[in-house]
Amino acid sequence: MGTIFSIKAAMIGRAKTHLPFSAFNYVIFSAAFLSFGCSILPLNSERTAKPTVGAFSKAELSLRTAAEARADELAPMDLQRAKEKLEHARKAMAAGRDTEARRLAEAADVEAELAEAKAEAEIMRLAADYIRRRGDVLRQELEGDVKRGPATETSRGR
Amino acid sequence: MSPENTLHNCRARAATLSLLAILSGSCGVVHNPALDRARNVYERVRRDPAVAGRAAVALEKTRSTLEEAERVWSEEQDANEVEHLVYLTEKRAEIALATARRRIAADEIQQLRPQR
Repeated sequence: MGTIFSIKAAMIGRAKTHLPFSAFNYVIFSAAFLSFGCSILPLNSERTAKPTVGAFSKAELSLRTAAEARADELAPMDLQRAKEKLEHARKAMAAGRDTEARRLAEAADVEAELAEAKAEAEIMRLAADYIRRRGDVLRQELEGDVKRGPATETSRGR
Repeated sequence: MSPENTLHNCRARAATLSLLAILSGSCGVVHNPALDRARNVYERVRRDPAVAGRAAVALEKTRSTLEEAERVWSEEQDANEVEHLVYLTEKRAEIALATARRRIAADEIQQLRPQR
């Protein structure tokens, strides 16, 4: 019995002597890895998983709004890019590549918004051009009438 | 505790602290050229006299996307996500320019109306 105790005591003593890290070191290591891991991994997963569905519906809505703003006619390249990106996003989603799907859906959304903004700017520019041209024509007609003056009226009277 | 053990413990602690220093150093902010590009695009559009006062909402969206890119880079160091957000920032800046063009045309229409 005494021998067993002495062997145990010797083992504990050896363990204490050769233990490379104390409890203090383990606490620091654990804290370091926890803080490092916690600061990166959950944030990444939060960004990738949650907003994917929202990004898709937002992109679809933006595409419809852009089409209503005549973007297929006035900003066809941007609208086409948006459609292609949404299609790629759907494929990525089906393949389980959630992060890629979310990014493509967000890109499709912003491309569709750009198509809409360009189309609206073009509509307004065309309207301004039309009004300016009509104004010029009216001004020329008025100036012509003023120059001709009473002579024209006399000829009209005859 | 023998002097050898004390020395051993001290070395282990020093190694641990060095590792911590390396880990914290690796978390520091590193330069990202894509972010610089986005900042330049935003600043250029913000300072554009044609945009000022005509596309405030679009400009605000551009700024918030840029801030999100900066936050992701400083907190997560995710280069792919930052590249994506930089792309969105550039597109939002284009939207601000297009919105400003629309407003300029609308102002022109307002000015032309009394002449008719």
